[in-house]
Formats: sequence, C-alpha cells, structure tokens
Amino acid sequence: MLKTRSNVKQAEPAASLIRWPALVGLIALLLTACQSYQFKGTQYPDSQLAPDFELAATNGERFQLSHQQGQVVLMFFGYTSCPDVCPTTLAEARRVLEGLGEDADRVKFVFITVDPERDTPETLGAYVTAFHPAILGLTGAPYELAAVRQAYGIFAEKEVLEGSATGYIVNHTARTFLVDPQGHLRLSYAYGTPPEDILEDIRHLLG
Amino acid sequence: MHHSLIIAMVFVATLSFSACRAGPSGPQVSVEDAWSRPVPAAGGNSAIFMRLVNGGSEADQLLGGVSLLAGAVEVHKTTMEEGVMKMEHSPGLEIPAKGEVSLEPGGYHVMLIGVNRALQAGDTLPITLNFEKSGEMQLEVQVREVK
Repeated sequence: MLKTRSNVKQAEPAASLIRWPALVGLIALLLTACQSYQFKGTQYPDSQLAPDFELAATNGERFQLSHQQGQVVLMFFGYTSCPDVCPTTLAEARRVLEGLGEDADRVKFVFITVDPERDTPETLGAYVTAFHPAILGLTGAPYELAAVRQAYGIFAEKEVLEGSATGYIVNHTARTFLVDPQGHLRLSYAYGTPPEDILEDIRHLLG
Repeated sequence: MHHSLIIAMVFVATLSFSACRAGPSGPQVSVEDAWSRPVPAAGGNSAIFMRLVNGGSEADQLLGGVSLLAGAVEVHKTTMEEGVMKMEHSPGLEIPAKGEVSLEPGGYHVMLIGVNRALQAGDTLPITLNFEKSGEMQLEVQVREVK
C-alpha cells in the first residue's frame, strides 16, 4: 500500500489494523518452523538410497533390503557369542518393538552376524527370537557378509584371545542403522542410545 | 597383686592384640547384587554383573571362577573405541581397599563361556568366584530378564 503524504494520516489507522495481525501471523509461522521435528539419531546429510543387499534370514526366507519399502528397517551387526554389547542392543530393540504396539508390523529389526563360522542359522535364529519373535537374524557366505559390511562402513575383525576359553572374539562396529520406508539410509544410532529416542524417530517417519 | 590376676590381664591383653591384628587387616570382599543375562540355548555365552565391595584395609583381585553350569568363567572387559566394540580378557580385576568396583554392562563382566544348558529369567546360577587373597567365594547369581 503506497503511503503518500496526503493520505498518511488517513491510512495509518487502516495500516495498523493489518500490521498487528500480520506480525502475529509471522511470529506464529516462525514458531511452527522452529518446532519442526528434530531427529534424535545422527542424520545422513544427503537422501541416499540404502545400499541394497540380499541375505538368508533366520525365518527361512531371503531378505532383500530393497523389498522392504513401506517399512522402517533397523540394522545392527553383531554375533551371538558376544556376552554384553549385542544382548544389550537386542534388548533395546525389544523395547522399541514393544513400544510401537501395532505399528511394530511396519518395522523390521535385523541382526546381521559378523561371525558366520559359529553363528549357524539355527544358533542365530534361537538367539534373536529369544529377545523378540520379530527380530530377524541375517547370515550368508563370508564374502556376502563382508560386502554388506563394506557398503555400510562396518568394521569387524576376529581376535584370538590367548589363554581364554572363548577361542576368538569379534571386534565390531556397534551402531544401529535406520532405513526409512522409502528405502533411504536416514539415521544411525550410537551404542547405548535410549530406546525412547529411536522410538520417537520411528514414529515420526511412519507418520 | 595376685598371680592369677596378672595372668588374666596378660591373657586378655594378648587376646585383644591378636583380635586387633586379625580383624581390620586384609581385604574384606563381599559380592552384592550378582545377576546374569538369559541364554537361549546350551553352548552360548553370558555375562554376570555385580558389585564387589571391599571393606578391608588391603586391596584384592578377582581372578576368575568356576561353575558347574559353564565350561569356563573369566573376567572380561568391554571397551568401545570410536564406535567399535572390543573385549579383553582381564587377568585380574582389582578391588581397592575400602572401596568397591561395579561390573556393569559396557564395562567389566564375569563372562560365562559355553553354558551347558539354557538359562532363563528366574533361574539361579551357582558359581564360585576366585579372589587372589580372599580365596573362593560361592554365590547364587539371579538370571534376570534383559531390560
């Protein structure tokens, strides 16, 4: 609205009628923008498609990541002889799945073994289902598993423990990865992330 | 003074001196709140967590242990280096004098290697812990549901 000297005094009351609501509206808009969802996990900067792979699942089927569109997929790399970190993570996975209630149908949690030598499909299956029946163990030939680890930047190394009855342990990256329903690698979570944080992020992505 | 009184006094004095020596010196280790994770099938491994409290004036070391329910019992430590999980076999875990050590997820644990049957929440697991100075200590570990 043009303000000229001749009509300023007349225009002012009308302008102020518009000015205040506009200001309020602008502030409201800014506030809602500030409240846009903050992910708890570490975000991947670009929207990249999660590297695809296909492995044998402990439910007897083949699991192909790109066929999981519509689902949120959580991935963790570990092994069943691990007494501490892996059970903790799987227990947290259980809490997430239980916290989702009916929405648990739309989430897949997969535990990919870094120890195919000892983790037979039977051992792996018994191990993951003891935490929650919906958790899938994934295994395959060592070269197949190595390819998946490489795609996701996962370190895994066998270490013989001298003088220990364990034989060997596997040192491995302990990080949980989240693939969204559109198949993009969106988030990752450090070991020890509270299950509630993962739950919130999942709920936001399921919409 | 009567001889018997002197003898009695010497006796009491000796007794109290020896009592002083036996009491506070040496470690006084007790195990609190020992619990372990379930194991779904025989052959698996588990971790036992606990608090080791030493009320004595000398430090002690947990060396390991034995259990009829497992092939081996060892002290291990989980370490995280830049997101990579590693585990070390610890030859001994020191419990300082007048102090305590907490074995918790993510840190030290007593590892049960090769359990010979599945362990379910609610089970009790008999185990003998072996300390360098305090010797053997028998306890019952509660198998708890993983939280």
